[in-house]
Amino acid sequence: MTCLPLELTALLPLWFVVAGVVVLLLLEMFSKEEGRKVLPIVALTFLVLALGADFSLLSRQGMPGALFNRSVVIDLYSVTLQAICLLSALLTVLFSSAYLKREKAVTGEYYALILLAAAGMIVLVSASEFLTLFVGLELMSIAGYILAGYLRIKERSTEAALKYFLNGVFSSAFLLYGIAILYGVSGTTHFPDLRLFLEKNMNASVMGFNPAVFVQLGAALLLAGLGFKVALVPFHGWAPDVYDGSIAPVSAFLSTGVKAAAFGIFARLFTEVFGIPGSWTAALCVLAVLTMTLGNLSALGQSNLKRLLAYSSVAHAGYLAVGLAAAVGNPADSVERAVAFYLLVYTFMTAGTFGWIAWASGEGESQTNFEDYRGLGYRRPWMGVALAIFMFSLAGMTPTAGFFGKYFLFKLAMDNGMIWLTVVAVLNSFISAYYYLGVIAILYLKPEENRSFASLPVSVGLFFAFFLCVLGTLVTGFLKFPF
Amino acid sequence: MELYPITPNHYLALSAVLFTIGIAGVLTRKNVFMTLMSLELMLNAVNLSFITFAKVNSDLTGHVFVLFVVSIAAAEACVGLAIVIALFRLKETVNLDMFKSLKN
Repeated sequence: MTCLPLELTALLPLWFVVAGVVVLLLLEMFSKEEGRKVLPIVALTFLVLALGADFSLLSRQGMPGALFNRSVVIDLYSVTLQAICLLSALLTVLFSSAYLKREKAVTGEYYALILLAAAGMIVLVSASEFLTLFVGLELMSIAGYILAGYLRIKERSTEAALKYFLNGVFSSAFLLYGIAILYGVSGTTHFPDLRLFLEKNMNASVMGFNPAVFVQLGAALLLAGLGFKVALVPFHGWAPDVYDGSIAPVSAFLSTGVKAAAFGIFARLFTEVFGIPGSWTAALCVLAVLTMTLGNLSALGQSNLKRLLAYSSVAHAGYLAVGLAAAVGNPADSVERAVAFYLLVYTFMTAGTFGWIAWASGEGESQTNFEDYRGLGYRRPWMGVALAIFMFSLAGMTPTAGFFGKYFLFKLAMDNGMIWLTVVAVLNSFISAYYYLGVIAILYLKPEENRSFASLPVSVGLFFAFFLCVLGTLVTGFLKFPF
Repeated sequence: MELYPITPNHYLALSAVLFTIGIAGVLTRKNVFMTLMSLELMLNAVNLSFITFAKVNSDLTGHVFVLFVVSIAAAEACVGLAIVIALFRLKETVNLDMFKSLKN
């Protein structure tokens, strides 16, 4: 490895994923009907290779830092986020293989698109410059639009794709306008240079105008654009519909991997670049409170598990925003560590729950209402326990990782003296516990006589995916992390 | 009548106006194609800003940025039109108000 240039070895995960895309598309072209069985295995192989490359980066002494003319930065934070995105892609592939076989919709393009989106995420979370950020974001999003409408004969799926597409491009335009203004004011697109410019000129008047006004305008547009991508209230209107309308494995991918990548770079921008005293702390506080409260209150009224989870995913973006709101005053790496940890935990529990829905909803995803799962916990005890663990963790109950994730985030706000923000966040956790525990209660109600749930098979891949999610949800809080 | 030179400020103002027209179009139009055209208008308004800022800063990054935005917008338009065609086959309409199978 040492004879290769650093540029090649440090981005090895990206090369593996892109190679996977090419191989999958070629396989799709040349393989017959029965050859399609190997597609998920090929996708998994390349994802595992990429994850392995990430772990070898994590275990080596000293990170490569800025590469490719400072457009990409490979540090602990970006490698950790890469691993989280790859994990989400891996779980999605495992959930999809059984799901697509059941719906008779197996194609190589599907897996290629997942890997392509994962490649976009890797570029996005490693970006240290706005052009790289934009290209990574769009690579991820465009693949996501197609995935959301993957079952194109189903009206709901296609409608979800259109909604996701229109909102996605709309938010990209805001993001771009923000970037343009920041570039115009500072003359640079590199994050570290922009930070230096801000530190120097935030309170100064340059050439007769006050750059602070334009910087705040640019940052506000950036905040709106990224707020759309991670579904912060009031930019969340698309999220419940898209997560509800897409097929369940894709919902798992969009609500974990895509969100983790977008939030990852969001956190980097608002700690490392804009993490200086300014008015965006107040804006982030307001967004966090609105997102948590509205997400949780909307989830309360749901009777459909998939839609409930869509709203819960909005609420979780709010918890993450609490950590960001406390970014000024806390060291940047402690904020990034808390955000990355929460995203990891969130990926395990949310991907697990969406995967569970993919399994339990039956052919054509016909059963997603609470009533459809009445008594499932008695007939399929292991799967019942799995969902119960995910729900406990989403609610933030003590032994599970969900508790530790919330603890680290809320502690940032406490350390910063934002007592009322912490109180609102904890109250929201209580509200959310009500509906999460309600789901568990339904599982253990007296089952109907003729409902046996025996026709829901658990394949090897599915078993492994659930095992991974449950294990992750239970032990992540007790592990010692390098970051 | 005295003629004034066109300054960068004029371009930036035009860009802001175009961007606002784009937003208004996206929010009010019910025809999918009009919405798509409004989105393109927003992106091109941003391109104008980038070019102006690149000129003001005498820096090439803004020009390169525009090239990337144009090519990515083309890719986006492909996917968007494909989605619209898929929906049109199912619903025989391009009116956004007719797509409401995902309501609470």
